[in-house]
Amino acid sequence: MEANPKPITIQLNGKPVETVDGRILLDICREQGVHIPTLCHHEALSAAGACRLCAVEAKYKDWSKVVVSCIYPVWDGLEIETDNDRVHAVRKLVLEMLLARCPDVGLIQEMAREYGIEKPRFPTSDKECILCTLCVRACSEMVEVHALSMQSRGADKEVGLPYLSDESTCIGCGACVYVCPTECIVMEDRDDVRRIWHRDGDRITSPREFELQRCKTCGTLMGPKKQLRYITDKVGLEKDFYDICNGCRVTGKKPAAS
Amino acid sequence: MSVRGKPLIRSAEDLARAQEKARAAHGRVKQYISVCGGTGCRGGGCLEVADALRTVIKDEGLEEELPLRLTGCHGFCEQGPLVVLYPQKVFYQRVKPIHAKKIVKRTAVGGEILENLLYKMPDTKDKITHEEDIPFYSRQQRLIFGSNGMIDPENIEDYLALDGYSGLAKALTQMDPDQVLGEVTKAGLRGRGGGGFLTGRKWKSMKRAPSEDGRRFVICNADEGDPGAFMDRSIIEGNPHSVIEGMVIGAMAMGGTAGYVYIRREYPLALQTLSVALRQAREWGFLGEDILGSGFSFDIGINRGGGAFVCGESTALMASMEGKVGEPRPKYVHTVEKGLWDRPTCLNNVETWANVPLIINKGADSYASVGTEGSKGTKIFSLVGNVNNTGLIEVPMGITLREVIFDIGGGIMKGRSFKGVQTGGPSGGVIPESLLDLEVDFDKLTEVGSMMGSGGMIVMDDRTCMVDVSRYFLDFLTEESCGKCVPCREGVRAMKEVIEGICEGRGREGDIELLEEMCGAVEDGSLCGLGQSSVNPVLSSLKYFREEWETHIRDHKCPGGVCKELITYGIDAEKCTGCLACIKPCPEDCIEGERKKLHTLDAEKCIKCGACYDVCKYDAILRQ
Repeated sequence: MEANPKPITIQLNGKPVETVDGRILLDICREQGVHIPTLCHHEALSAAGACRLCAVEAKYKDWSKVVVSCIYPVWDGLEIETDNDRVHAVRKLVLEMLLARCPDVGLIQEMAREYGIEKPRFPTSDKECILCTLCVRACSEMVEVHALSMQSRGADKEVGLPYLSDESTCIGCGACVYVCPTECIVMEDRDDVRRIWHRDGDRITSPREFELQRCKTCGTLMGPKKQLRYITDKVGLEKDFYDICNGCRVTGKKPAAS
Repeated sequence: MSVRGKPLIRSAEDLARAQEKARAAHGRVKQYISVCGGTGCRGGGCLEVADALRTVIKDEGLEEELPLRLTGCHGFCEQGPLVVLYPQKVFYQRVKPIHAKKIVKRTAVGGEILENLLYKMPDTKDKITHEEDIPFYSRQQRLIFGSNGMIDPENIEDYLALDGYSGLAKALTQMDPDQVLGEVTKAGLRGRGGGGFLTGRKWKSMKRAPSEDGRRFVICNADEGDPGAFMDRSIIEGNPHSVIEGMVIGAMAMGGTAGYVYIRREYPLALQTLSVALRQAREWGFLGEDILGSGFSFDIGINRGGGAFVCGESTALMASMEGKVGEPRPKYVHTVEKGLWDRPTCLNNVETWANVPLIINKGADSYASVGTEGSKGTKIFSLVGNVNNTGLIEVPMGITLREVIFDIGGGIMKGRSFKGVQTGGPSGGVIPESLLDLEVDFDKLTEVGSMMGSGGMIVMDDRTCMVDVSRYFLDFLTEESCGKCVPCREGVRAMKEVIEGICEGRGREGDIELLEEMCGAVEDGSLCGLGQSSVNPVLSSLKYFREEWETHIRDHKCPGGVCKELITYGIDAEKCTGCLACIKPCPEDCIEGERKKLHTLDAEKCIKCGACYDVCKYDAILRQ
């Protein structure tokens, strides 16, 4: 973006809003308190424009087009309608399709209900993953581990390990679990082991297991050894940095003699 | 560097000399034999024909005076393998190796015409000797495609002999980039890949867009994937230098720094001819440093696609080239501003690039004298389906569908009646008989709910089921959807399932309205052109053939006799002659009968394979 972005005015649901050229429409809507539903959007990650729920209608003179607000850069004179029939038709289709795909996912049921859909008119499946790609983006963009990727195309598309390999670069950080809107990536810490697996209807991957590390002083669980090693290497910390937890490091407690 | 002792071409004067030399070499032979080496004819065995001809030529000691050229596609695939004797253009069709001796000795040497190899008019059975007199050819205007028969695509001198690279020389030595851009704009050229965007406008946007490190890319889209479309393939297979020349001219006009051809891996022959042509263009100095002494440097590389239809979409194509998953991204920022590796990128289709040398050579005014108000020049269509003369045709914009299908295409096969024509592939729509006089151009096709697309034209007769056609295209699109956005991944599949239900007799009142509702949302909501235009095959069919859909739903009948669940087979007692022909092909042994006695068909056992229907000469098999 240019150093001094050009100030512009757009019409948001008939109300003039002053902003700057090229800003992303969804951000403006949220600032203005205009509710836009999203499923594949996360403010910390790049926008994908995949779920299409944040569709709005953009107008200018005789021109009009349905655009998705999470990636749409605004320009001077643009008129936006966020809640008309045309927009709702797209959102309804998306939610009805997702409800047919994932009839048991609470979040989808709830969002569909907001748009008056109780039961999809199409044959249902039993999936739980909506292919929003948030997990893939979190893993690649934030953790930078690239342990996940999208595979196949069209109806066969799914989340998996890159190149369908069994080898994984996963460090067990659980970032994918936190961003998953349908909670279909499951994580469980038990007996000093973290288990993460993907549950998608019938298709349940066998859990990946990660040994957890305890603080050598107080015994608190700190996280998967792989993840701590990854952070140590990446940040360039002393190799034994994570022998003790942050609490013990602050209070200056030393590890018990081994 | 020099090749086979020939000098590298360093100036427009060098080029003129090389062209003169190539022409003189061609002029020394009185005649030559052109064998169509297009993919269709190769399937028919043309390589064996060419081998046989070469052997005879050698045996007769005629290698000097009767050269053989294995060329690109001549277009008339239906009648292949094709052999044309130039310059008289004696046209032989369905040629087999055994004909080689006669073609060389009797026709080429003796001047005699071999009647049995001539094209026969399907209706009058009149025989036609010369290519240009055959209606399939005579009604065409082959500006781009016409030289295919005269060029061995692996020999750059054949292209030079036909004034090849003159457009490039003119652009580089007599014009400045803005003048070139101005000519292309004035010519009114529109993108042949489907969208029909004004090429001049695209080039101008690309030229204006800033690049942070000065890199700017020029790409040729050769990822042709529409079912039944093969014109881009045939241009590259037959005349690759026309595409290369167009790209270099475009790069010069737009300040392109590197070029790529994105070509699908399923086109091995095109890949080969293109590789050879690029190498030759480099050796001769049409690519590389300081082209024709102009100071302009440019080269072209090849990128092979992996077989995804969606990679023909510009942003998916560029993602694929970058080594990423071939998924489209929204084009709110245009690729001319941020395309390949986020640099300004101009992507044009094969046929578009091949038009460029013509525009520069002949001038914008001459180019724009062909075509309609909004669509200039010619368009190559692949004419396929239930039409007599399938093949590749090049016609002026504005020609009517009727002329294309009935004059050039020779009408519907086996004298059946016309039902509809699908243009534009899976993104296009079906056009009914009432619109046969439509003048074909970008805007008119869009107006009636179809589109130009890349130029596929599938002709359908009365035995086609329009619901089944929609099902076919949605099935294709479901397979080819990248799956990134919900409306396309889930919506198109759901629509396909509704249509499958209709085809299988499970259609319900309200299905049509449901489809219409979904079409609106899928069109508005999908991320790229694949999803957005996926509704065209459905909406156009519903618009023009609604009754047929209703018959499927309400009466559980398929008027076209295609949807298996909705038809039954029987025997027409009046027409059955008791010839026994239908008994043998029946895999379920459900037809019984004796010679000259009425046969019976056990509908309970029948699996509706249609084998009996296809063999009966008396139309005595009923399919209802």
